[in-house]
Amino acid sequence: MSVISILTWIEIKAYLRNWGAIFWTFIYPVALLILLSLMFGGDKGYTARIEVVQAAGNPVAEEYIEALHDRMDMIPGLSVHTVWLDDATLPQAAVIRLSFSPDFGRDNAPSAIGVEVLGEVDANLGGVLALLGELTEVFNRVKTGASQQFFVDYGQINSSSGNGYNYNAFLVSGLTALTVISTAMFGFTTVLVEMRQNGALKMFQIFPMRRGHFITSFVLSRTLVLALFCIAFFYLANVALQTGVSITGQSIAGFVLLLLLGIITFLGVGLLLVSLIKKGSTAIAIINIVNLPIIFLSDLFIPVASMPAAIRDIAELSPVYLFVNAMRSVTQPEFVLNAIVPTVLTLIGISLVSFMISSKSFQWRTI
Amino acid sequence: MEKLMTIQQLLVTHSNDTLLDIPELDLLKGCQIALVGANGAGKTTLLESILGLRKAAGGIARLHCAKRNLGVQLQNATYNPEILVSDVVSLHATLYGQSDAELYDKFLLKELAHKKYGRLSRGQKQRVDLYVALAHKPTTLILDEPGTGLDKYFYEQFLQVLADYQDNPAISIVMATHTASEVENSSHILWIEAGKLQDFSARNTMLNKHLGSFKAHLCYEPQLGLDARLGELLQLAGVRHLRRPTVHEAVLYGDESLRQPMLELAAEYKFSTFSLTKTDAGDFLELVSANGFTKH
Repeated sequence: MSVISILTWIEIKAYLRNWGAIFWTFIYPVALLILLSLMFGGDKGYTARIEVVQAAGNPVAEEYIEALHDRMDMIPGLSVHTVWLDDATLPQAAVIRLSFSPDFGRDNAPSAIGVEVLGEVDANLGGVLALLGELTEVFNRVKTGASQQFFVDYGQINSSSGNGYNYNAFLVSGLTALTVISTAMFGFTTVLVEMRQNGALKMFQIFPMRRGHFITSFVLSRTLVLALFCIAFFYLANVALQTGVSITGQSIAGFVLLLLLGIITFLGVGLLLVSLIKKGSTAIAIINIVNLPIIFLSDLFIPVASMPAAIRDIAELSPVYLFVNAMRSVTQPEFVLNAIVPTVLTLIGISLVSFMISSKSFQWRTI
Repeated sequence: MEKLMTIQQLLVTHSNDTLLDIPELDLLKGCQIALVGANGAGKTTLLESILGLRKAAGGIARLHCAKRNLGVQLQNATYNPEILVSDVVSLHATLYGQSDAELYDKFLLKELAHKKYGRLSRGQKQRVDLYVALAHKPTTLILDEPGTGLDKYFYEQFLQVLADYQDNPAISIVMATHTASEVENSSHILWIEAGKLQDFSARNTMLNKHLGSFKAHLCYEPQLGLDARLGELLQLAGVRHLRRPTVHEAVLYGDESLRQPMLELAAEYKFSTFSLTKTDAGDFLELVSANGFTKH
């Protein structure tokens, strides 16, 4: 066996014997899934996933979306999850897409709110569409004194899939992404920093092997464990919670591609942190400082769409946000691989930069 | 003879403290060197600097040996605590392309094979570390207090293995030690104190230079008032060193010329214990330890 394969196998076994690693990688996401699905994932709830196109920067359109959120929040069991898109040419993945023209709400000109509905209209979706109509009327009354400046232009895209976006499906894909991120931070960075601090890397400098062998084995061991677990977690959780997510050849390819790239990217970022941090206690402190805002802005637990525009702009720059949303998009009906190209390119870029810097700056020793 | 390692203007610091400051030192291949010094003298720092495990603030420390021919056991090197001993052994076999079943049996590693490295006692870890250092039959050995933690049985097993290496003139050994038998079997002694090179020479030369070939050991009643006489003896040309382990005990070291005045002293006073023997490595380690204690 080659050095890399035996070292990878040894590291996998060591990883699976570590209770801390087992907790963060395996127990934590399952426990969170059970807890959150019990609390919020009941059959009675309905989350309408809405894509919003070309509204950012237009105060009237932003006001409209904000008012939509306020209305939804007032109705028990009904919530809305909005995703802001800049590119109107992207295929529609959400159950509803709202399109605003650039001059929406300006110069008293008639302003259409394009509403594209994906798939069949059921009772839940019908309720949301009725709310949109009612909201548009209220807008006319408040803004123009009922001069009918704003109107709704409905359209429909056929789909064989169901059109409701199940909260549990939202949760499963989000938690899969969270597992990748938390393992890269806590099961990789802190472990490697502590190993180095405790002298566990010394002999690897003495042995007749290259630094790259060790780094490759360490990354590979975590990648394999995480990939296998995430695939099993994603599949079993979706089956157990009956999320009814759409599974096609493209969605499977997209999921596997995103998962592997996400793992490599976040392990790369973890390795970069190892290059910069010397002490185990510093690693834990920094990772907590970095991890909390990343999770907060990731759209995992709090919809970014419900945050103020300034915070939303910051969140959308986060690779975690991109990763989480891309992971969710693969479970959408009509998912096509093209939809995740920007995320894939971003992850490749981040991982290349991280590994290039780490390969130069990784230190075996801190003294 | 070929050089084993080269040190030039080596300066190692940590938080403004100088850990090591060695202007120049060349060690030759085929030498079996006992590295001695009191606790905290800088022995481990020196070994780690030679191996490239420590960043030098200045100068160079270079080991002229291929990694494949190098066997290393360090005091504070460890592995991932979750790794099994059998994993360490198989990793070693993969890296070096060979293993040593005889050594494996000698250190009774079979009984440790399924234990996690992080759960081993100090002595058990030492057995694994020594196996990793020796199982590929290296031509250069760097050992840092190899006897630490080993019980009598395993220490004897280790000494047997070491003796085979020491019998081979092609083998180079640098071994930090506090043990007389290990110093006794070395060809050279490298003495460092407070991070500085105190002396380096062949073992017998070193012992003669600092202690001489004889030692007189006397125990006496404090009321005898021997201090003045001992002070006078210390002025004699052949006397190298006086050590006072307790208030009524003295050990004088010196060359052949020490014998006559000591026999006269023994005839003059009634000592509860009096012996005149040859000096050995244990005496030298006492001197090193006492010297370190004084410096601390």
